[in-house]
Amino acid sequence: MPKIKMPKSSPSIDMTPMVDLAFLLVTFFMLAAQFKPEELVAVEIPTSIAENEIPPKNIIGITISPDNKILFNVDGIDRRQQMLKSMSAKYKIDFTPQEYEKFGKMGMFGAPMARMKDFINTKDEGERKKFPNLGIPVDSLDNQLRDWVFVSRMAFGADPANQPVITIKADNNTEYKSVHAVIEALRDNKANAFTLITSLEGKNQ
Amino acid sequence: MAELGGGGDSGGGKHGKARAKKSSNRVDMTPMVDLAFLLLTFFVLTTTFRTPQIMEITVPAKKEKDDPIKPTKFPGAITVYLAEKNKIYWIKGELPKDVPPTLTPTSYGKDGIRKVFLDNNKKLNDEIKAIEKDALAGKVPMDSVSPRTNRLKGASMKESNGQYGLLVVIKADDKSSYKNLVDMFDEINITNVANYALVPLTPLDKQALEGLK
Repeated sequence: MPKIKMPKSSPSIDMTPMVDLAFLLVTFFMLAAQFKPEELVAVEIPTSIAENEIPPKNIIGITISPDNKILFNVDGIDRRQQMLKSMSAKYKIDFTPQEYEKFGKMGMFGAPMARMKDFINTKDEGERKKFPNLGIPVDSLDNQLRDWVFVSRMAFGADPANQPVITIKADNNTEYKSVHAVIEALRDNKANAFTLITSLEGKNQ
Repeated sequence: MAELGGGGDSGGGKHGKARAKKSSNRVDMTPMVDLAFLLLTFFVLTTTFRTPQIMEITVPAKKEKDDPIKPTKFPGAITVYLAEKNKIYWIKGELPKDVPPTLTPTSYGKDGIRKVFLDNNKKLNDEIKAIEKDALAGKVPMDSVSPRTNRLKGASMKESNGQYGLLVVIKADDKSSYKNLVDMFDEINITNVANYALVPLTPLDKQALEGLK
């Protein structure tokens, strides 16, 4: 009987296919990545059966936190700087070119105009989240949200192909009172059509 | 660690013969793979795939003198009250002028308010369902559905057609939550309600809700 030959095999596994796959996935995710947008407040959005997707750009975003703070966001650096310029003229607060620069890139914001300078000069996101006067006032006497909506719509201009979509994003537990205040601020600006951001739910629920 | 085939020549001494150093011709890829997986994990965790959906809402334009819409024009209108703690009440028809309305409690969801809407909007809902069915079967183009249903909704509110479409008046309490409102719009979309209006509570309404606490 011939001797049983043990097959010669290397103790190490060939990892090439795995590495190939890993890189493939890395490449895919890098290219497909859409980073989660910066958020100053955690908002858990309700589910609905609405199926329209949010457009990728030209958005005026209003976020209402669970404790009824109102935050604002508009995309486009030039537009944002133009907005701040209009607000600066209206509220007679001057901003430095550096502050314009920083505001343009900031993302979501929300502070009374009197504190806006301090808000812009915060170091980073973390500091902004803890900003003591976070939130845009919507009181009937001091409705700054109405002005922000106005200047942001002005910043979009009259080009019909470039009109913004106004979105309201609020938490499940946000009180209707503040939602109502936001809707009234929009109506004051004749922005009678807007959208509510929701996440998809099963159709038969 | 990382080696590339060939190997170094550190062996060359004074009187050394040129010796080919024994070295593996494999590159150690471990660090690279580590990094690849690190990146992979990072991108997997930070990517958002499902973009959120948007629900379109239209509110009536503000007039100079803010006069609330008159549900009395639509005798079949249903007024829904969204109260705090996820409570919901409804009443059909004209609201009394000088006493608080008598409200019927119900619930969010299939067997609650949706059933109320469906019962009161049966004709319009069936018509719209038929159009959608035709579109799904390929009898009519898909993009004609929305204009047709909108026209139908408009026509169903006309007096000459007998006003068979349902008008829903939503009155939300300050303490009700945003989720309640979205759920309400959801039910309106599901049941193909012809028209809706978001109206503030009157003192009488508040009195009625207070009495139900």
